[in-house]
Amino acid sequence: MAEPTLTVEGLAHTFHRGTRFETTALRRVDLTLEHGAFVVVLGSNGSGKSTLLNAIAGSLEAESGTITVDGTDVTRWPGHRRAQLIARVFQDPFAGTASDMSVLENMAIASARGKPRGLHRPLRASRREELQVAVSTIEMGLEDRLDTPMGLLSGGERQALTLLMAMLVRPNLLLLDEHTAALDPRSAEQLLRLTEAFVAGGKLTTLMVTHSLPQAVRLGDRILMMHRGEVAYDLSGVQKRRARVEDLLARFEELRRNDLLDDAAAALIRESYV
Amino acid sequence: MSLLLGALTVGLILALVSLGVFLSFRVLRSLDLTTDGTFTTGAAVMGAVLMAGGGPLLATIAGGVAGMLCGALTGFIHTRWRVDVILAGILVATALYSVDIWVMRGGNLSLSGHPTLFDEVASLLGGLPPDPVTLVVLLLLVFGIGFFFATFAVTDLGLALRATGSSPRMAKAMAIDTGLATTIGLALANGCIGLSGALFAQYQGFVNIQMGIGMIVTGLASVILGEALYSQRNIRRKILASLLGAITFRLLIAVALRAGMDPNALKLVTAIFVLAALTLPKVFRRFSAPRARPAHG
Repeated sequence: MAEPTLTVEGLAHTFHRGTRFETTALRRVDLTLEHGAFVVVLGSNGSGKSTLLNAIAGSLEAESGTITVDGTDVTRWPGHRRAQLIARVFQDPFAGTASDMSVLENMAIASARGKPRGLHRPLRASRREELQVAVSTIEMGLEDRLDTPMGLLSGGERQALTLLMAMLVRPNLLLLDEHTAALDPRSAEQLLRLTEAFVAGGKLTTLMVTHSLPQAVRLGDRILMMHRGEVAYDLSGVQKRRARVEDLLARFEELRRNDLLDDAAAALIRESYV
Repeated sequence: MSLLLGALTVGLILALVSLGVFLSFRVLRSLDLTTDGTFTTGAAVMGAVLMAGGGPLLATIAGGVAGMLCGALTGFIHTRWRVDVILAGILVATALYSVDIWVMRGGNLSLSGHPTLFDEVASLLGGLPPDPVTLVVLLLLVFGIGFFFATFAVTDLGLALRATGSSPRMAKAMAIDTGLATTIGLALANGCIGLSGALFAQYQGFVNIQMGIGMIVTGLASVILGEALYSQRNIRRKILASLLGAITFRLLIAVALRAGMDPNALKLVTAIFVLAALTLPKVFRRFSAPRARPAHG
């Protein structure tokens, strides 16, 4: 069979090592995503889910571990080089698009992801039509506002375009970084539907980080629950399909109780022996 | 009339500084202090090539290329060694002072006895009066370069440079090497500025080690004035605005000098103008109702 799309082995990272702010964000993560998998990563603040995503995208160089995308070891590649294989949608609607540039110009940049950027003029009439058709697929009427500066669009419109831009050149791996978190409920729902349609339509291998349990239940075919820099639970197949919000909550509650027990035990030991 | 002609000519030459500053300050969002050094270096290298018998066209091009190298050096120090862009620019500009003196073999270099680019064109056209010829040569050259940049701005590479300044995270996510893009952008910006220095020295007939001092502020003033008077959303208009801003600024100075302003006050007035243009909008905003911001959500 074909190689997995993403292989993460022994990924670990500690911030501010050697200072009193030392925080271990990733203890050890091993992860394999088969081609076409849609994996949702859940976790509370500080669980390491964002660090994991940043380490895969290359905006953070992890201290140890290897990352392989479709058989290519990208561990030492800088973020912009990994972007040839990996597309990304940020939480911040302002991060994924260039405010000063028009909708069309942003689209043109996206259509050249991973290709050499020379002196071709991608805004010529024929290309313009192609990009216009692509913009119409998000059904927001933006195909009539191609020359509008991105800065004048709403957060929802910008996120939808960012998602479209991530897929304009088919990525080997799509990373969604809490991409609906900054939007109002209606725009978030709209974006979520678009995400489902695009991922299913393009059979994209996707890793989505989210805070939202309902999203995790609804989307994807596998759930990773992260806790203290490790994958605490990995639900797939029937387990994932049967998972309800209450089940996920119960598991988080269990993790939290174990933490409290650990802390209580540590306090007890300290009292007895120190 | 000659005052107007002179102001237009100098305005056109300095429009290239304005274009360079627009590129670094507005497009790349980097305040590039190499500018002051580059202007002199462009002139010095031009002078040295002219003295060595290289001919005015080659000398002028050499000035532009020298400027590009200065900008690339600042870009390299900034992006590869992670030195703040302002410090990188100051370091390069300071180092260039020594280089300029070596290149010029002194602090002053007279070009008299060596035909300049303008002389050459005037003689080619069979002895037309030099001043109008100079103006026409500069008009074609400067707006030609402006047209080049307006075209470049919508190429794949041009878009990559603009994205790097506007949203570095987006640029990286789109597989753009932002370090390389910044370096290319600073090289292009300083190429314009070096070329401007080379032309300015030929116009005034000598190179002086001090001629670049305050050029960044003059450039900023021109860019800001251009934005205030002519700016549009679209990048072509913005480029045009930066050129027109420089010319307008020069005309305003000519009028002020005519009206009796002390020429020594020029840099003070320019600095105050830039400061006011950058701060007054904020002051006004504080006293007026909060303005509508681009919609969120």
